[in-house]
Amino acid sequence: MWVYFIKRLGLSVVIIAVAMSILFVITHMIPGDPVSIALGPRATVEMKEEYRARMGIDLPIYVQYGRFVSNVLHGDLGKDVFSGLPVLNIVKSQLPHTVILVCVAIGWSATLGIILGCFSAVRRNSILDRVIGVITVGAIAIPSFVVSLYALLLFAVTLKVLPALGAGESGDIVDQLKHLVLPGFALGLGWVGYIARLVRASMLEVMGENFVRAARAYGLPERTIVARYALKIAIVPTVTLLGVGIGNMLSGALFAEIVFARPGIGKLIYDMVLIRNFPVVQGAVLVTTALFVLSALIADIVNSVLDPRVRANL
Amino acid sequence: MEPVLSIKDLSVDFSTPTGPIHALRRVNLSVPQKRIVGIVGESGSGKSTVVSAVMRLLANNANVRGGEIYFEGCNILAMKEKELRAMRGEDIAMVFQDPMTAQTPVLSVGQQMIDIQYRRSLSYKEKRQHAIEMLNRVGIPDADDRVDQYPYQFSGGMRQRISIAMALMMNPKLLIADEPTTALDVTLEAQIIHLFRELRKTFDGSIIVVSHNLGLIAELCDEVIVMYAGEVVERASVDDIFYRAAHPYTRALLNCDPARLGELTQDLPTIPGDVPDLQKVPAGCIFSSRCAEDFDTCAYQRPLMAAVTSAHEARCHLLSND
Amino acid sequence: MPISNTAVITQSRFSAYRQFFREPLGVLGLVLVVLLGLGAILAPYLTDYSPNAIDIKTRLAPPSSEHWLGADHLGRDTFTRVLYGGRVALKVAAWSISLALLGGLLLGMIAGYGPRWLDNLLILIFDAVRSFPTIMLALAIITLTGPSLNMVILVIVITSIPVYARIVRAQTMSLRESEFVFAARSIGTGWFRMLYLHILPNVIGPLLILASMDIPVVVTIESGLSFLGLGVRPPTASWGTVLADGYAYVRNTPWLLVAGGVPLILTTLGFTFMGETLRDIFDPTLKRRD
Repeated sequence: MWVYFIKRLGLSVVIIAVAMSILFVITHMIPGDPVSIALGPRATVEMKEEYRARMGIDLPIYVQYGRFVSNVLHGDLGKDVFSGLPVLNIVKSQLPHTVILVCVAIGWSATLGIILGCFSAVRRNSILDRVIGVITVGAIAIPSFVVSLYALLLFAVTLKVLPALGAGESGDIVDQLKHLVLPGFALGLGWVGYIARLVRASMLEVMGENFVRAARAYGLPERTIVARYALKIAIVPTVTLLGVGIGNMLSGALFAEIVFARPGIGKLIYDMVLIRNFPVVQGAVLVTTALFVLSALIADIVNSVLDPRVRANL
Repeated sequence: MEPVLSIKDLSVDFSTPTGPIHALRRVNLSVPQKRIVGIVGESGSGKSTVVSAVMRLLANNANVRGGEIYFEGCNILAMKEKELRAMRGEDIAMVFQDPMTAQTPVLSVGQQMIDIQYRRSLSYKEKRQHAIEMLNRVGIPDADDRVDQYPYQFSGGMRQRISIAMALMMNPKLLIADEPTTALDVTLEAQIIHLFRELRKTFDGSIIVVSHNLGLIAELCDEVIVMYAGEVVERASVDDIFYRAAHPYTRALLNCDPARLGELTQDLPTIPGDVPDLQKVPAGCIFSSRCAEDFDTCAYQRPLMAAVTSAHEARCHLLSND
Repeated sequence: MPISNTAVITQSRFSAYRQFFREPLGVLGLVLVVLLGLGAILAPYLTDYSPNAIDIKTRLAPPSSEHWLGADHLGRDTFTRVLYGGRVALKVAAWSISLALLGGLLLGMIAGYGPRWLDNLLILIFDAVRSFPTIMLALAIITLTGPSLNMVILVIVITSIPVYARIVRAQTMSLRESEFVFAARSIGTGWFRMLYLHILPNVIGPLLILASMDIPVVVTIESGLSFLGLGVRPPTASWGTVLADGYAYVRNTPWLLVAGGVPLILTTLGFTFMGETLRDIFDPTLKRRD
């Protein structure tokens, strides 16, 4: 089992490294003078020179790449163009907000999605199943940033039951939780749909397997069979979906943070894009990508714990 | 002595888009205490359907049209879900055909065996110990260690042994083995037969063995019930069936066994014709269209079970005529 | 997947049409998609307004007979802007999906046919590219280039190619092993014929399904970026910019938000229905048991 873990970890590190390199390549292939674009039409010659020196744009590309790699390995993701603060610190300060939001969204959507999916599978073709089917299609069809906007419209503006903007008073947990409701809901809604449908399909497949029939023949209670014998297997594709879907969810979190004016990586990136603060954007994107790769890794590891055959087949 | 299991007039249909399939029609059979009864028949004869009905594990499109199944005085077909669950695994247990899919792959063998004991108020350690004992009993080596392994780490033959161990865990009064060796090769089959023989010494319940393999039936069973196309056509002791078969189908079936051939031939004997379409059950004897000894009554009148001796009966007009 | 045989493929393609039209949801999806497409293409004929025509007098007007969906904060007719927004969506979808398909075909075949080390390298690159959330990558590039629809399309293509390429690669690799390909090559069949006769018929199903599920994602990405002001440049109408205006004026009128969001939802629904129906047809082994 440890062999599996080490192999996957190694692969993940390699992928992150390649991803960073690709980002480096792409950003250096952009036509035009990045300095003028970055600093805008009002930049003076001195500002441009200083920027060039700071960013090391004049040096040959492989030197730049080398500096880039060594910097990253030392935890230096560059410096904010305007304030000179280290990018890593800026990103680190905003990261927790996004992580909390994403965890809340996954938490409720996975729980509800799994429950709905199980019910649908166990009571297949009943009215409950069909209703859930319709609801899930609807939930999937609305892009998450549109859900954010509509949730804002409906609950904050029209009905005025929940706060619209911000993360709440720091120190006041209840207020912060209230501010998490709408963004968390908006971010998770589509996922409830995906997860419920996937769990339903997986459960139907597993419940038809011979060992479920055998388990019934041994007189095991249906509850045990569904929860421990069937669900444990059926949930594997869902875990994979979540692991891979984190990337999607991080993008969704970006929009949720902007719509609801919450602090976080997404809002940070957006604000920095507007003022062309590229190092921060680059750093944040790299951190996000690394998170994404790691979450896919975690999903694989969870699966290998759930289903021992995964370990054996690597 | 009261039989352990008593099936009376059991009729089961399967609904399909093109109409119901009359899979079982008024099947009667009983299993005496402490005996091994074999149900033999080709594919489609209904033998698996009968035992699935006993466990109430029929497919979703199955409908029980009539009859009763008596076990310890209660009609299984009238039981509620709770009573069924109490009965399954505890009083009646089943071993399935395909050992590779009979256990869940995500729990260890021991864990599954402990789960089966959920009705007992034993400690975890005691349940685990019982599981190890059962594994020993069915001949799994190193049971102490292997009890924590996962099903994929066992071979097919061993997994079938584990299935048998699981079925016998609660010491049921009736064990049903549905095609227990069909998925195994000949050497493994011999091992399972040997295992059954050994178990018989310590297991004091009754066993039903369902198979199309005459050899298996001959090795293991005391009594044999022959089924064809949803009906019981003959019932006798194992000797009577193999040496003094009364029903033309049984005789033809025995003749088809290559082991019985007296001389070298080019063609293996078969029974000409096809199994009738059970959506339109023909009138008369169900076997008449393929029978070598049929006469006019056979085509329009369904024969009743007629006695050959007190312990041997067959559903054939030839017997009533004598 | 079945080894292709041109006669068999022709037959199954024909019955695929028939099967598709038997599914009500699939047909509904197709209808939605066609309506949206027609709305976009015929936009100038369906409305008298220009999408950028400012009319302060009718600022933020609710729906009426003159403005079917109301007007935005500059008095521009929302319905018109939605129709023209459809054109942007159409342009993005058409360009990005076709380029991704082409790139996917090319790279997939190279990965499938080429030497092992090349395949491994390409797979590694694919995985690395896939590990960027598309929007994040787009934002990173836009930081340097400024808002640009073409950049958006480029980023979408870059992140989509790996997905398409995987399918083509899988089919190419399985084909590589098959005997009749060996026979075909031994009589000197060129790679173009190989592609056309043997690879394309087998990948077209999964690729169509993928494209169908991908289009709403692509359109949503464009809308999302335009919503942030980082996609199309103002005053161009896009569903995203309508939503942005709706967000800015959410306390004045709900209609802009509704008008911007509904076409997105319908696009997603339409293509999802079509895609699921296509999937049931082309790969019945994946069909849900119902």
